[in-house]
Amino acid sequence: MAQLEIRNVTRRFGDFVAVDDVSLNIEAGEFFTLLGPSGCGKTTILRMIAGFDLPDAGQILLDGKDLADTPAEKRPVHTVFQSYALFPHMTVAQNIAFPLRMARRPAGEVAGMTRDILEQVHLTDKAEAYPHELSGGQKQRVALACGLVNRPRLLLLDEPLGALDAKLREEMQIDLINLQRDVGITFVFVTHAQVEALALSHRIAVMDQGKVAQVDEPARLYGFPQTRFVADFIGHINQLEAQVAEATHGHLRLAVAGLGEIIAPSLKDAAVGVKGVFAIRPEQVRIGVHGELAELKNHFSGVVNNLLYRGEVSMYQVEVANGAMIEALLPNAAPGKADLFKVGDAVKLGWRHDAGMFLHD
Amino acid sequence: MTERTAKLPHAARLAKWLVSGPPFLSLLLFFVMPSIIMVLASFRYPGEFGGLAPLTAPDPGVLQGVTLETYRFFFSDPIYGRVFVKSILMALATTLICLTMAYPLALLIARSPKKSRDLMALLVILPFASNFLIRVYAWMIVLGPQSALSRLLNGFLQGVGMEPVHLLFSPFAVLVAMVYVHLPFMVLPLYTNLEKHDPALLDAAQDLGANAWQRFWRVTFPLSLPGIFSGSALVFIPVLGMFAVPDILGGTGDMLIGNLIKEQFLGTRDWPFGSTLSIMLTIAVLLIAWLAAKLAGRRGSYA
Repeated sequence: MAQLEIRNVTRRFGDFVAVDDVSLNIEAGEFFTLLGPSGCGKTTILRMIAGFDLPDAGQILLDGKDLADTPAEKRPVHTVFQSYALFPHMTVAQNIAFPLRMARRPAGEVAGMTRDILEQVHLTDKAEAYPHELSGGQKQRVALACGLVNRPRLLLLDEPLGALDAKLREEMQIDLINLQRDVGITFVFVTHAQVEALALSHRIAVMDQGKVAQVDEPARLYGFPQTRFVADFIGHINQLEAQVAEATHGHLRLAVAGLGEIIAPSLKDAAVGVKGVFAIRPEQVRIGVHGELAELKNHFSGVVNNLLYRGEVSMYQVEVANGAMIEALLPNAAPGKADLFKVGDAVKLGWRHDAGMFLHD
Repeated sequence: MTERTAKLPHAARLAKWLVSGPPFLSLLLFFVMPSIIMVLASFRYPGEFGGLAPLTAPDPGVLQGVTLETYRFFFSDPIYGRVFVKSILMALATTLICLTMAYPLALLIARSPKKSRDLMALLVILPFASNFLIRVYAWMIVLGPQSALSRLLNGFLQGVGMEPVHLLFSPFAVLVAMVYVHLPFMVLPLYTNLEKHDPALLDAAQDLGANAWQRFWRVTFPLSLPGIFSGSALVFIPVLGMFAVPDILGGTGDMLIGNLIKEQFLGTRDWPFGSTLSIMLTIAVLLIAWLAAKLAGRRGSYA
């Protein structure tokens, strides 16, 4: 039995269906992420788990027990808010002791537990400081400590890294992974940042317009997106409108108007004539001069239309025969050498026959 | 601070003086100067027909010169101390009643939808649209012996076999009007404070296990202390010096410091003693304000 079961939950606000018949199982000790664009319903699900909102239909079960009649303050579920929501009139230690005092733990235990968690988030020297005296990253760690100190069954995190700058966010990601592993508490993380989701999670549920589009491990989600939405939302991907011309046991032959044919990995339910897109990650596309990529089954000529130098890699945008733009990612590994190609250069693009995927409409 | 001022460019310094000059000047003219005059006057003898006695006069029979007589007089008769205590108690009672009435109202306004908040705040200050004295006189009608309220109350008292009461010209009438007049001064600072509270804090408190009662006493109330202090100051201090309300609605025995001071200047024409009473009132207010500030400073060190 999963620790948290969300069964056919629906939540409407007037005519708007924020959460549409969602079912999810979250296992104990898991770092589970709800990922999606704003308005996809991920925060509404989080609020319903916390108890700030109730489903119109469906059930939420924690350890097999329906939470419907348990008010937020009685649920063994704590939340880390995006705005941190620290009490400004209390010191760091008083903030952290708050959930322990609400749970009526004896004073000695409160002091000990507060001290332990402060150590765990490296804030022992800030115990007597007030929230306004802390930096963003420190506030973030206090909020985490508040959520964890009373050892809830679940910790919900609502875009907790959203307010931090990029460098700090990366540090906090590593801290979060370590912290979650140390405390062993189930984390349910909400974010719209796919990089964050991929880096942190054991499993991710990608949400779109109130529905779950795909639930998978990060690598599978990135490598094998099942819908165009997921493919597009997770990372960068090239998409070419295509139609199945031949479906054999090992591969598909796809016809792309104005460009030619593409050999792609086979797909169960792709019969001849089915329309969809051929999708391939930029890092799977190779780029070279004439004659270099002849050994690859798929290769096309094009002209470099744009290039973006990003430091560790360069992104080349190549216009092919049918006017489509295909992006190719090339690592800048050779010392002192970038810009292997210039805008306007005639180049060859190619990729392996087993790279990319066909996603039918 | 002085270092930074010195570094300001010429134009900025001029602008600073232009902005802060008029209020500074007005405070100097209408607060500091009168206060100095008052302090000086308190050490003089009263003049024959009001005003002050001359500092020097050729006739030795005329009261003249400088004296501590008014202060000796103030401390020699306990009645003045009693009026002070009574006034402070009246101000305290008014403040507490205003606070208990204003807090739920301010909370209600602050938690209302944004659209209706402005309208509700406007309704709170709407009584200011009519004259203060007229509003106080209106209470004479409401509390008078022929009023519906008095007749209803006395009818009830008669029914249960008790003596009828006079509402008007009593400390009760004074208190009712004091509360009525000063209520908006409590509501507005409280509302301004409560409106700024981050609603996420209440969510967080609930999430961490606090029930509605705990959420109020551990989050909302302590965060509203600055509003409580400023509201209380805005009610307490004017009530302490108020003379119009006891004049109109109080009985002969309901004299407060304000009435006493007014009486010295307009009635008995003893300016020096009136000045002494005013100084004592100022000292009392400063003392209470200092105590409140200390209290606020200890509770509100996060602000």
